[in-house]
Amino acid sequence: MEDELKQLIIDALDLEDISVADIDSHDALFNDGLGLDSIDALELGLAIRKKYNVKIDADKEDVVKIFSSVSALAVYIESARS
Amino acid sequence: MKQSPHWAQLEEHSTLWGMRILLRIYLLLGRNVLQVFLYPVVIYYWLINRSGRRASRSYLSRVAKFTDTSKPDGSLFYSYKHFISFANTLIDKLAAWAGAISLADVEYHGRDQLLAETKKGRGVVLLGSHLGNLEVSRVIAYLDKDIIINVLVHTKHAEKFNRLLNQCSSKSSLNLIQVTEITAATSILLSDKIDNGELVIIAADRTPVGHSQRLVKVDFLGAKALFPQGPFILASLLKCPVYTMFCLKRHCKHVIYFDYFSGVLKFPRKNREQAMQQTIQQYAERLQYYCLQEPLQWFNFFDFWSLVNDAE
Repeated sequence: MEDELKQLIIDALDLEDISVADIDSHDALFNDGLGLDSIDALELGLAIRKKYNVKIDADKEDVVKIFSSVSALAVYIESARS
Repeated sequence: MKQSPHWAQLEEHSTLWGMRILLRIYLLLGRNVLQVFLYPVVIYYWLINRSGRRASRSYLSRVAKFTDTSKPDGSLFYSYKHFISFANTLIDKLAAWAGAISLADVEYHGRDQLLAETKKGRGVVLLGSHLGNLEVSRVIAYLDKDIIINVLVHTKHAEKFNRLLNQCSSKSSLNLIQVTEITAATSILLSDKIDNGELVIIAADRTPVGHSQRLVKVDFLGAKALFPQGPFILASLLKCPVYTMFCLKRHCKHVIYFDYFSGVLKFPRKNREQAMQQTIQQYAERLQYYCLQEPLQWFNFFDFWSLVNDAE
């Protein structure tokens, strides 16, 4: 699941020079980590919706938490799907 | 020096006050009577609204440099006509809301192309503006069943306008979507609309309230002006073709122009700012083109070329 998500992130955001192996599941996705920004977050939200049929339309603070790392995102998607 | 107010603050107290009175008269007595009332009201409004007058004159003198006849110019006469034109548009809005505009009053350009585009399976983002009458376009949604229109509106005004709308027409159940900020929820909502082949209208000529970021400086009518990135970012997220839409009043008809603007907008992360700059400059050129066609239908009565976005 985590690797699948990493691939999704790479595809959705056109991160050409990054491979699945480069992303640590526990690293921050935004700011310091992968350096994604708010536009990327929206892009990712739509891609996740499409692939997993999981809506990430929570409040801002929750969204920050959900997107904090690949593993956090995976946990969220799994729990939302079940 | 005192900074000129942001458009949102201006509109907050001025137009609604006048609109309410105009709507009363329109509903009670009809358009012709309203027209008679209009002139003294506009003269009064024009006289007291110093910043609006100044903005109008400075805009018109910019326009004069681009026209062969150098008319309209920044004179008091044309500034007054500019206000009259605005008032006429308000009446058209009221007429639109009251259901007094029929398809015979509307002339389309590019509608077939736009419809063909939506038939391909995805909706289209329409970039609107405050040149001409965006309101009339909403009416098309009732008149023209082939087109489902969603209009993104600004929250603060939307509620008040909705209240006004409800007073005069039970049909006003058009999809007005209130957006001040692009959130995950709005992008998902709109992306569903686009997936259904619907149209989403966004005004692309006004800077966001309460946000000083995500602005771009582009050339417009001979000088730099600030344009918002938001509508273009949203369009790129929605991954659909983008058209511009202008609704101008010409010879008593509402002429609506749909023009292809771009395919799916892409702002690659490597040169995101630069790509956006380029796209928004293109939009400003399109806006300028239509602006010069009907200069007096430009309804941004604030210092459009102010490079300070003092919305806070």
